Amino acid sequence: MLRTHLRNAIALAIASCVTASVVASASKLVYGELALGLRSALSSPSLLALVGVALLTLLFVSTLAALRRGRLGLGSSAVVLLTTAMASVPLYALLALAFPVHEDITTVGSVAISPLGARCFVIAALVGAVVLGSFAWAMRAAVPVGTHVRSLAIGSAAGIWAGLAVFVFCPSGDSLHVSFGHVLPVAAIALIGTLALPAILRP
Amino acid sequence: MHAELDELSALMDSYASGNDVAFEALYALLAPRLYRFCLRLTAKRADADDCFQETMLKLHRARATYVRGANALYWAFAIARSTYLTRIRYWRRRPETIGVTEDVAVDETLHTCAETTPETQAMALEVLEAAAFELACMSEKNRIAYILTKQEGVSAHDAAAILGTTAEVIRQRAHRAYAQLRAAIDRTV
Repeated sequence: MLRTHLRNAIALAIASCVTASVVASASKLVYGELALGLRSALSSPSLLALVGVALLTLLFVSTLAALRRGRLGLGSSAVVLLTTAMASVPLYALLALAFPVHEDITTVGSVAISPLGARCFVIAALVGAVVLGSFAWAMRAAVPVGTHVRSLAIGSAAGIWAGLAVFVFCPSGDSLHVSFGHVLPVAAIALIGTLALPAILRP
Repeated sequence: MHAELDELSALMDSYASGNDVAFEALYALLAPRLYRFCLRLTAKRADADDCFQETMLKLHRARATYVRGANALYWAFAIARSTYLTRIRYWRRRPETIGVTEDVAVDETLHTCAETTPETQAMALEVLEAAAFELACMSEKNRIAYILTKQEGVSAHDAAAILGTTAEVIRQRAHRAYAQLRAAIDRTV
């Protein structure tokens, strides 16, 4: 049986590898080039840097709060968990909708972008599900305290990983597309985590 | 006390690393306090036995998740409380009426001083019964906060970590439980 810190490291490695490989292969398959989302946003580099740093900070903080074990081995405190969990998804939605770094385009070359973001939804759901699964495995039976809040925090963290994936993949800044294809799956993953994880996390 | 907790944590770490031989010493150190905690939590010996047994089983299953250097006793308390809550949820879904069982207050080990009179012994027993009854009747959240801070000597900050809430909330709950107990004892005396 692996110790928790090793399981956490493996879960983080899985999350990073799966996110990178899904984004890379989907970009190559759909648009024929890597990380088109980042390239299309280079027209406003300062905004891209700002949103990118904010997203990475959000990812780091939510993941740390969800996975850390703390001084007593009982995980992050309830206040930290609740704050990060409740703030992560709304902050992601704010970043995605209020600071659109991508242009409002409907086609890339000959490839049409779905107005409701069907491809982005699938990619976000795939990445989110794998990250949620790996984080749940890492924290399974690890912390006997606050399982419901911790589930919400893990779900939110997995959602942010999915949000980062579509941010890098998708070149569209259309608000309807972003709402359905980017923000909705992030919220859905957080909700699924909240409902499904308590029984897994409890020792 | 501090040395005992350190030894307990060291033993738990050894056990978590796969050294099964450490279990015997770990059990000898951990079991009395953990069982007492379960007894106070459930207020009935039969329930405490079940809760303790289930907690030890869960502790064994989850031993690899123990964090090196963490307080093993607090970790065990948190597992016991989680086990107790699971049991409460189970019985709420499947309620059944059972006969009166012997509880902590009428335990034969609760003796008063031999020099006291039968009247004072009877009074002490009455107070104990009233306190045990009041503890069993009060809300689980207030009771556990009281048990941890007043009876087990855990700081409000650590109790907050064990129960997944804030230190201020723990102080409030423990104070409410204390006031409730005082009122019950005053009514009896």
